[in-house]
Amino acid sequence: MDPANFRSDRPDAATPPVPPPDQAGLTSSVEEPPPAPPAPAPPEEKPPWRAGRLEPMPIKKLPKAPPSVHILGPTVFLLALGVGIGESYQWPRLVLVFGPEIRWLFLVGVTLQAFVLLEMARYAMATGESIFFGAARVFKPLMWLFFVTAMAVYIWPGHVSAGAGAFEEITGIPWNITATIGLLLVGVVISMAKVIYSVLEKLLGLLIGVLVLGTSVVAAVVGSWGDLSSAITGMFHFGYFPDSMMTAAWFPTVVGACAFAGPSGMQQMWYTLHLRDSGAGMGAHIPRVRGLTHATEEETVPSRGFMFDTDDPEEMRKWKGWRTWITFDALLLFWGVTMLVTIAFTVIASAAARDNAQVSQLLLQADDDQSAALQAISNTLSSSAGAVVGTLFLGFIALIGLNATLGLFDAFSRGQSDMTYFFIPGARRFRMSHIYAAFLWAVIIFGIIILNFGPADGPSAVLDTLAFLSTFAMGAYCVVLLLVNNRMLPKPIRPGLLSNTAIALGAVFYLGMLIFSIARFGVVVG
Amino acid sequence: MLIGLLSVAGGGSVGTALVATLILGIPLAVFGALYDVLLVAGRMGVGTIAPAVAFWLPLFPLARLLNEVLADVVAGNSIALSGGVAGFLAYQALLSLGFAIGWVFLHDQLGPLWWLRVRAHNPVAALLIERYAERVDALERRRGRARKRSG
Repeated sequence: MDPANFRSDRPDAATPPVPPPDQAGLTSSVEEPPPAPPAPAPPEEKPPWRAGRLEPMPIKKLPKAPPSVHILGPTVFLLALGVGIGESYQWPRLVLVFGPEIRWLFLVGVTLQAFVLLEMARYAMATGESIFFGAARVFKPLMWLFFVTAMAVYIWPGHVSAGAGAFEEITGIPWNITATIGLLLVGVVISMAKVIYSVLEKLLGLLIGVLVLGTSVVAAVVGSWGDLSSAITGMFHFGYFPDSMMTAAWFPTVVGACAFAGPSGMQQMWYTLHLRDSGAGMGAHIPRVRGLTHATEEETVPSRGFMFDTDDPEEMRKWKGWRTWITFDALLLFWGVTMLVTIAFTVIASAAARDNAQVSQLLLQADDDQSAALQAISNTLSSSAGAVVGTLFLGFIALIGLNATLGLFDAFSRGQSDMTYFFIPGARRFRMSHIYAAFLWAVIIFGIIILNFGPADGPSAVLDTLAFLSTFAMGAYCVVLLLVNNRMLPKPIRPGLLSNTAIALGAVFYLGMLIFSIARFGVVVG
Repeated sequence: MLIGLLSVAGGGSVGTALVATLILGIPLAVFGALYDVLLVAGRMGVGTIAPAVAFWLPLFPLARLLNEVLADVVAGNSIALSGGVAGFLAYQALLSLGFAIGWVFLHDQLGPLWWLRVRAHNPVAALLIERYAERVDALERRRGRARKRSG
C-alpha cells in the first residue's frame, strides 16, 4: 500500500536492443528518388560511460521519479541506524554537562550528514552502483579499506546489549537471553523475506513511527516550554566552546558525539545499497537481494551499473525529479526526524535531571555509567509522571536497540556481499542473496557467541582502534565522495560548488577533530 | 493499549495503567477517528504529511489539555498547567509535529491491515481501503507509463 514501492519487481537488466539502422537512406541514392523530405538521422547508440579502469557502464533509460512527498523510503534504514544511543543518550548528556548551547555542534553534524546523504545518493541513483563500487573505480584499495573496516568494527554486537539491558529493566528477563533470541529472530525474519528491502522497509518504518510518536508524547508529558525552547535555541550558538570541553576528559567524548550525530561510521555508505534496492534512479535496472528461502528466484545481477544519457534533455528532466525526491528524503525525513527525536530525548533528560539530582550526578561524570544513568532517568520519570512514562522511556531504548540490530545486520551483510560479489574472484559463482545470507548468519552466530561469552563492544585492547576506524571512515568517505562524484560521473550531473564545499568541510570536520583529539589529548574518541 | 501494557510490565498497577490509557488514549483515539472520517470524505490526502501536521496542530494540544485536567481531577488535585494555559498549549503544539509524523508512519502501515480485515461489515473501512487503492492504482498507472517510456 505504500507509495514508495515504485520499482518494477522484475527489472529489465539487459541492455535494450540496438535500433536497426535506417536502410532507406542507403538505397535512395541508387534508384530515381521521388521527391520526399530528407529521412531523419538514424538514432545513434550512445557509447558506454567509461568511469575509471573498471568495466564501462552501458547507457539505459532513467525511470521517471515518483512524487517527492513520501513517507516510506530508503531513508528509514538510515533513521533506524542513525537514531541511536547518540541521539537518545550522548547528546542529552552533553546538554546537561555544557548547557544547551553545545547543540550547535549537533546541528552542524546532522546538517553535514544531510549533505553526505544527498551526495551518496547522487552516485547510487546515477549508476545503480554502490559507493563501494564507485570507490573501486577510483582506486580499488580504497574499497578494500572499507571492507576491512566493516569487518573490524561492525561484527561486535554492542548495539544489541543496550536495548536488551533496557528490556531487562522492564521485564526482568536476563538481557543475554533477550539479545540471543532477538538476534535469531532478526536472522529468521530476514531469511524468510521474499525481497529483504521491502520487508525491512515496512518493519523499520513501523518501529520509527512508534519511536517518533512515542518520544513526542513522553516529552509532551514530562517537559516544559523552557526545556524545549532552550534545546532549540541552543542549536544556534555557533562557535560555543566552553573551556571545560577542551580537556582530555571531555573533548574525545564531544568528538565521538559529533561523529555519532545521525548516521555514524559506514552507515551512509550502506545507504547507497538501500537506495539501489528501493529502485531509485538507475537502481531500477539492478535486481534486488532476496531472503535465503527465496534466493533461487534472484535474477542475474549485472557485472556493473548503468548510466543514463546526460545529453538528453528529457533524461535530465527525470534526473531533476529524482534529485527533488531525494532532497525531500534528506531534509524532511532524515534531518527533520533526527532533530525531532533528539530534541524529544533532550527534553526528557532535562526534565529528569531537574527533578532528581542523582540523574544529574550520573550524567555529569566524565567516566559515565550509561546503564545506571538510563535507569535513573526512567525511575525519575516514573516518580514524577507515573510508572507508564518511566517504562515507556526504557521501552524506547529497547526499541532503538532492535532498530539498530535489524538495520546494522542487514546493512553490514549488504555491503560485504556487494564487495564480495563484484570484486572477489570466483564469488559470482554464487548468487548475491546467498553471499548476503552467509554474511548475515556469520555475524549473527558470532554475535550470539560474543554476547554470551565475550566483550560485546569488542576486546578492550582494540577498542581505541575500533573507535578510530569508525570516525576515520566518515572522513575517508567524504574524500571518496569528492573523488567519485567529480571524476566518475558525467559533467552535467556532477555536484556543484555548495555540495563539494559541504563534503570537503565534512572531511575536515571528522578527520580534523579526530587528529586534534589524538595529537592534543592522546585519546581517540569517547 | 500499548501504554497500559508497558505500564503493567514495568510494575505499575492495573488501575493506574487503565487510567493512564484512558485519559490520554481516548481523546487521541476520537481525534484519530475524525482523521479517518476526513480521509473518507476526501478532505485529507492519503499518506501526506502536511495535512496531518495541520490536523494535529490544534488537536494534539487539546488532547493533552484534557489529559492534564482529567489527571488532576481523578487524583483530587487542583488543576495546574506547566507554564500557564498559553505556555502549555504552545509547548504541546510544537511537539504535535513529531506526533503527526509518527502518526502518518503508523497510520499508513497499520491502518490498511486492519481495514482489510473488517471492510466486509464496516463501510468506513471499505471506503478507506478504496481511497488507498485509488492512490496505489494512480501510482501504478504512472509507473506503467514510465516503464513504457524507459523501454
